[in-house]
Amino acid sequence: MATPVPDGIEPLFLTLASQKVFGLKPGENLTPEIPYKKISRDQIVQDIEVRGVVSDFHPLKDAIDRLPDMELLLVYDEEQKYRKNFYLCMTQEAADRVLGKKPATGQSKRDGNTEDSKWVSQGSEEAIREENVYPSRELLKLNISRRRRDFNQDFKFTDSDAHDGLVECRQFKNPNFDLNRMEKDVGVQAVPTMVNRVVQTPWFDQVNTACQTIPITMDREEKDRIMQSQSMLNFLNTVMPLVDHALEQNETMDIFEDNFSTLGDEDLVFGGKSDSTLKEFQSFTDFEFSKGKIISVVDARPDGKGVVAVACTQKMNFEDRMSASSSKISSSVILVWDFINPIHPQLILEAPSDVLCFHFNPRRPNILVAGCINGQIAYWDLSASAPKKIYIVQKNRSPEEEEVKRQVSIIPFLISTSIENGHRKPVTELTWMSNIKMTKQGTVYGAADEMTQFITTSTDSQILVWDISEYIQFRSKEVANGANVTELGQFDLKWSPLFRISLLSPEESPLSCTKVCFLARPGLLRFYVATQEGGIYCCNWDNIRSNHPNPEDIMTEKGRRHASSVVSIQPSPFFEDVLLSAGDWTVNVWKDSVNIPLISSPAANGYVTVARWSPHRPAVFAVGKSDGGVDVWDLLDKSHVPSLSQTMCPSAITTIEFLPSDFGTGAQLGTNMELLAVGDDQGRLHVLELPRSLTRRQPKEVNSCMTRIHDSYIQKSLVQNFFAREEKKTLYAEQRRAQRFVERGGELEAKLDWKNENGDEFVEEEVEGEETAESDETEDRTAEISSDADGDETSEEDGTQEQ
Amino acid sequence: MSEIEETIKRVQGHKGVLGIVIVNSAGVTIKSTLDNELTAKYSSLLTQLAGKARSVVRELDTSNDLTFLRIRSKKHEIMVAPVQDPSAE
Repeated sequence: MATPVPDGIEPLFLTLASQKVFGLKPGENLTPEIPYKKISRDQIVQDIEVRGVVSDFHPLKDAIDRLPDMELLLVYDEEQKYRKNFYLCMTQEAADRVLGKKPATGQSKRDGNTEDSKWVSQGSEEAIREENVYPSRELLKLNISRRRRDFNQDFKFTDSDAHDGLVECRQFKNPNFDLNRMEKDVGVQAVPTMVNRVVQTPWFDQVNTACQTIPITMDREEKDRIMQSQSMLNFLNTVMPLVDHALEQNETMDIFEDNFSTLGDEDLVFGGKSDSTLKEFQSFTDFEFSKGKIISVVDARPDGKGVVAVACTQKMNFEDRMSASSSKISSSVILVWDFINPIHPQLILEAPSDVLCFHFNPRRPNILVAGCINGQIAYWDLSASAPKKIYIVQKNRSPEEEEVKRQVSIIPFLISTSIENGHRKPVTELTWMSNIKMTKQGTVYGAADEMTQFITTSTDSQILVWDISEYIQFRSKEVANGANVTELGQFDLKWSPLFRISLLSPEESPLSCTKVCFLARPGLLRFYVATQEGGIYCCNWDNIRSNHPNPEDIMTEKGRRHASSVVSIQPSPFFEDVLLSAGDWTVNVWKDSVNIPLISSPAANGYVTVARWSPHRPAVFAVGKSDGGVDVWDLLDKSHVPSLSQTMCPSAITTIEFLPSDFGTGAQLGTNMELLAVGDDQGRLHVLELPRSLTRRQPKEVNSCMTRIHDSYIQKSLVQNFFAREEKKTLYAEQRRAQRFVERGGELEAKLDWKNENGDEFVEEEVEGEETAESDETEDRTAEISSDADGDETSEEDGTQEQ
Repeated sequence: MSEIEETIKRVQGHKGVLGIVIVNSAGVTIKSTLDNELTAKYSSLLTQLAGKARSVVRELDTSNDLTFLRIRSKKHEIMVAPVQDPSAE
């Protein structure tokens, strides 16, 4: 195969004669290294002129004539690349190319370090030459002709069968397709993709900066000068009216009232049916420990974890107890119920004897103190004790059921008081002292709400003050040293009261106290003592300390007595001087300064066992009765009958407690309603939901927020007004009575003291109608006075019966 | 002058008033019935706030000016009475 002729190169055939003329001797001048000769153009022109057509260069005559005067390269084409034995480079570029090509075999890479070596033929050009195809002869020409008349003859087609002359061409398997090629020549080109991307990150120099300022101050003289100046006076005169106006606005309306929260409540009418019953939310009873017993106290654990504790006491009067104590050992327990599990109590606390009153410490919910029927006080620290486990056999209800042993953990009391130094009769009431503390000498001082002291009272006419701070310290020291169980047991039976008060009535007779409550603020300590005789005494502590000579100032008795022992007294959570007392079958609301009750309820159907103020609304209180009914009074709604009266259970109600508003929040009980815990004398604890109308305050009932700002300033409120009115009415009624008495000719006592007076008339004035009918019945009942209210020993036949 | 003292005492005696602070336009306390630290806080913070409030009022209407500012919070209410003409304290 001939290579195509590049530009500027003309292949020539030079005869031997021409070769001789130009001095071209293949083999001598024209070696394989230098197979070319530079011939000037003129020489070629001359040759053409001399030999004319014979000259080998003649075909190129024109081209050469056109060329400028230069040297032309004549190359000997040994391999006959271009089919002639020589070729002439017509242009300089061609010449350069050829020149460039030629030395490639031997003269390239002169600047490198490689050594040039001569190309040695390995026989590859033979292979190439063999591959080339050269025609071995001239092409033949062939001329074929046919006479015209032979074309387009007649024809005749016949059919014939398919298999005649049929050449079958069957398929056959071509092995080439199955052939596995072990080697294959494949061309591959791998080129990475390239993308142009630009990124710029700003970098900020980190600098530490700090700034410290002090306020600009003015020195004293400057200030004084300005203060005295006329311009200051002018300024104040312009500004003061505005400020006064704003302050007056604040006084007239409650600026902190949340209007939205009380939005729909004005429309709530208490009489609506669906809304106004107490619904039972939960009921707790334990068959083993509380069945058949009286629930004497209910108390809620203060940290809002949904835990309530009840104390169960046995229904025995004094003689039974005396005889029983010698024979049987029964357990007196406080059951701690968690709302999550109404079947089994969370904890069972064991007391030395039946518990009549107990409270959790409001500051430390792990500490419980209880007063027992034998005069001792028991102390539990729930974080400290290790429970002891006992097995109890569950009483099987049907004979087929097997006896089920239930494992129960009981926490025994840690410390109990010494019997000699404590109360001699049952402890009837126990209250934690808040806001004040007492020293050993009996001085009272205001203290932050640590609540490490409590007072107890008993029917032995003593009030004892106890302190737990040393046990708390002991315990905290133990905890700091890593002890798990406390060694407080060593203090058992050694606990003595901090201070002892013996109460004597103004007639110098000892008072058997059933309940005590007190108002305490820095500078003021007052006890209200309720006695078994039905009297309520106000004891002014400060006067005792200051050795006031007049005993009347120390102890003053309320003018009216209950017919039998007072079972509960409680100061109102909203007003400091309003007191609620319950006894016999009436409930009285007292104001501190007035000797006569402001409001006295008519005689109820059964004995009143407990009365409690509602912590949500200042005019609401709940009363529990011995016929199992709960009465809820709303003084703003109706003050002569209870607003809601409902029978909870067939057995007598022994205790009522309003559970605090944040009761279930820790345990997330999910109740939005306020709860009331009611215990009865069959050992059941009912938890009731209060209807909304009893828990939502009407606007302006009590402005409690302002009291926070300024203690002595209480905004006029509905209930406040109500009590004020009642007070006026009461005092007026007294006056009128005294007048009438005088008119009738009777003696008027020096003090308006109606203790010995026939209370009949008076009650009639206060309350309409129903009272007189019931007064006959009550006489029958006097003979039956039993003591299931406080589980106490023999009740006294009350000498000062009024009815 | 006792009149000034008397006026201040009168306001202080109002029910619910916890204290009074009188500040000049630069924010420097002239008179205060509260303790030093609280006074310094109130002066600096309220001067700025009152200034901002005044600029709000004036931007909405240039002929208008701030007469009284009351800030009511959950626990307290703060009343700020700026003086109208900018030349006095």
